[in-house]
Amino acid sequence: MEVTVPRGYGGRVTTRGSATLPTRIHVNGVDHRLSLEPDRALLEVLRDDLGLTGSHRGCESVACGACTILLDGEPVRACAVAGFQCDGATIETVESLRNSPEGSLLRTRFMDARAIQCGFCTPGMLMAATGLLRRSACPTAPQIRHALEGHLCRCTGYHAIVKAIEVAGAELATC
Amino acid sequence: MRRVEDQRLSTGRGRFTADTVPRGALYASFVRSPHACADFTIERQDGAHSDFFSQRDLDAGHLRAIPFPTTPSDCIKPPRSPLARSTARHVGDAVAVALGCSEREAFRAASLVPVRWTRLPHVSDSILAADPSSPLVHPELGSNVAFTWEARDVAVARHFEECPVRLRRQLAHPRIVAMPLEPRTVWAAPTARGLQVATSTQVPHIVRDVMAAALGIPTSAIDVVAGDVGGGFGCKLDVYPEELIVAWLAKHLGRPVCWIARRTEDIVSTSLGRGQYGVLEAAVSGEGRIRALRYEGTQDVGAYMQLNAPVMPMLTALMISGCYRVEAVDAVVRGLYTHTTPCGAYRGAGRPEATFHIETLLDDLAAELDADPIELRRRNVIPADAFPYTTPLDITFDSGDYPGALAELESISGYASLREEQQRRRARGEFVGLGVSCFVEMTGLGPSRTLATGGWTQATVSLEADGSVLVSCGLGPSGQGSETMLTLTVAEVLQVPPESIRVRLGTTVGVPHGTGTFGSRGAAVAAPAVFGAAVRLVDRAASIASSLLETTSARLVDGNFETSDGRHIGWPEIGRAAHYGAGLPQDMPLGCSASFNYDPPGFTFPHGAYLAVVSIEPTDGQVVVERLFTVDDCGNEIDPAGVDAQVAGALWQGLGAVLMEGVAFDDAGRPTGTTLRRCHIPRSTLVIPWAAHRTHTPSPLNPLGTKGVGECGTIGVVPAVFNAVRDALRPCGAVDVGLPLRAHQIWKALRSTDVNR
Repeated sequence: MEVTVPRGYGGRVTTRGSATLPTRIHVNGVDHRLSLEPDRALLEVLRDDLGLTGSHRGCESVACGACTILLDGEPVRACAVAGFQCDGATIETVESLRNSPEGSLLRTRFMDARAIQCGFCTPGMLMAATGLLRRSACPTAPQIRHALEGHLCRCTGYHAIVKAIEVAGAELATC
Repeated sequence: MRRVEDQRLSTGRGRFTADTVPRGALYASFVRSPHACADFTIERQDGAHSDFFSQRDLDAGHLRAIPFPTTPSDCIKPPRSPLARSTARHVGDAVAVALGCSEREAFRAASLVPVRWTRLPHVSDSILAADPSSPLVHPELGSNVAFTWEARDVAVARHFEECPVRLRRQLAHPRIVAMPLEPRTVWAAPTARGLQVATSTQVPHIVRDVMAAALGIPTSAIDVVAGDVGGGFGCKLDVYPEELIVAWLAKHLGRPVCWIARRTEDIVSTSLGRGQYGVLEAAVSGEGRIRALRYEGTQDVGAYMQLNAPVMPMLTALMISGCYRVEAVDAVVRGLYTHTTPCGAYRGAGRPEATFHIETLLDDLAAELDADPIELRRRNVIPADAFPYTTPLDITFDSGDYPGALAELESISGYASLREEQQRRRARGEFVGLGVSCFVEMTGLGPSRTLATGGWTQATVSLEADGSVLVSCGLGPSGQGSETMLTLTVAEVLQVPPESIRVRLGTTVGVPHGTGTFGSRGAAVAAPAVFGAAVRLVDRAASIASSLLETTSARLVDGNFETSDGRHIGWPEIGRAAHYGAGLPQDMPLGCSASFNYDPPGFTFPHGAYLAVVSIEPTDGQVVVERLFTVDDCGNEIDPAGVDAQVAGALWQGLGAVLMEGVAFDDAGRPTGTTLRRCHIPRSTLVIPWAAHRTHTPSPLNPLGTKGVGECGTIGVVPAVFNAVRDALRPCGAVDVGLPLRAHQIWKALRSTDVNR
């Protein structure tokens, strides 16, 4: 049988030819000038254009939390925001956590508490937790559980994650 | 110790399949049936170029029917074409595949494929499917029966005649979505030699073998890498049509091709777990000893036979007597095709169903005899001195201490005072219940002859020139922390720091054989394999060290090889000498690595005893699990923190199964709850105070004394909570409830009794 590569599959060519919008975003300390089609989610831009694959897509219904990033400091689902809407915004993804005090502390406490199993939800959990700790120092376990309600983890049963954030919060509050 | 895996997973540097898609890949999108059963035609306009493929194209391109093996081998299994040919047999059945430069383009192309559907009658329930008047899923078979397996014992009838107490229990374990957070994903790229494939699977070697057979190319031409796998829980232990089609497309188009399941299509196309209906009967002596059991089980196979559909009810039958000393068991199970997503393994696979049946029956018996549930179990369990113990169905339990686990449970829970508290609260009109389960489970599937896919695992431990160590093993982990567990295993044998060890898993590259990860194989099968290789590596290194030190008996002491007169050299010197030859005699072979094939002589049997305390809110029927006490025994533990994590995760999946999960099908045969928003799984707000304890009864089957642990929590907690809820409802007689124990059902049960009217 002869199978040919269908027309239009030239690789990088955009077949739709829809208008693109110039967008400037500041991601993990680096400025990016991009031309984005209006229907492309920030998650696609981060993963496909910038190669930041730490943010994961676990659903298409803004229900799993695995793509959570910080948009101007606030935890936001990167699948629910169009890339061009972030023009002028500062974005932090899990790849930047090593450079922030809350982030690196959270990372180590997640590891210490065995709060990571398959690791697919972890980036979203870490970003949500970073946002939480910046908002409220020393959150209680119920506050943490409430903040994570939209973040699904199928591996851990959540205890270790809550514990890790609680410990990190307490440490940040005392230092 | 921190996990080896966590360095990359906590910094966004995990290598999940969707993170590694090659540049320039085409994306595939599948056209799926919206109907439970429908004939279809796809209209191609003559002369127009089409950018989709149907089964006709796959036939012309020689992609063969899916050729995977099943256990037992005599299952009635019509050949399954990768895409449906002219009839779609479940909602989500793939009928065509479209391509695009991006996922979005592919999705759009798929939505434009002109499919014309003609709906046909369907059957979504396995009990109804057995009825001769029901529609046939595969009409050419003349029946919906996919397999029957039985273990008959005529002695059972005698026990039923002689015993004064007879009990009968019907239970259904609904189908469950495994729901790993990472949806199924696969990409394939042509290479000079054949194909490079990355897929989110638990069984890279089985995927490779089946793919090679389907494409008609040698296995050596395909490399399969699973990378980091975002959860599997059994559903990624099948070989799926999408994997074969993506590989075929890459081969024939000469381009990398990728498919990433959207959540909804993942839910409707990935194997569902459980799906078993059963009737368990017991013959019991006057003193409350179970003499004989009779089990009839019906497994929902779904529309097509998956790798494990027949194994699940067989395991249920084999484990139906639980941890109890029973004299005779008579079991028959059958599988039935229905117009639903195929069923496959899900955490526990068959053992949760068995435990659910026998443990529920034990509580019924306790109520009938007015005995305490723990006391009744103590009367029936296999005593600690009876091991190895062979069950009536010829399964040999390696080791265990069931009375010990029960005693531990009574002690950590303060059982007597919990019962007193229950009486006080009941007197105040509260609905409070205590539920117990005492369970045993089989892990580390093997020996190889019991499985169509083999059960043995190969491990290689190599000393590199710089003294670092590379471990490779045919495991396919999906979050269990196996790299860490195997690192610890090797570090102990070689007496080297864990940082000098690298573990390569989940790949066929450099690992000739492996059966992947399932049935809690990590500690029970892979660890003994790696241990065996490491021990052999020490022997090999000792001979090199002896040669370098010009002695005959260099021994490994504190990480160095020493002679009796105190001279010593370390791993780096041995690595250098072994790799470059300097200082070694001519007749000494170079290199320093050792392999070991471990075929488990039998299953290992971890066990435990759980207790749940629940209360029920009478106004809305909401079940609140107030406290949970667990005693687990998985033999010796290599990574105790990893065992904690596995038990915790398994428990919460079990809590999901008993409290909220379960796929329902509407009148049109469509599954309900096919998005994450509408699918109930435990969230962070499900808080249950939990006290965990462990006992340690080593397995005599392997030198490490280890057993598997990944599934215990899921198996033990369902009957504990179920029994507790029935205990809470018992005063008002509303015990006839089923899984899952959602509030609405409990509320209806309460409303149906006089007490609450």
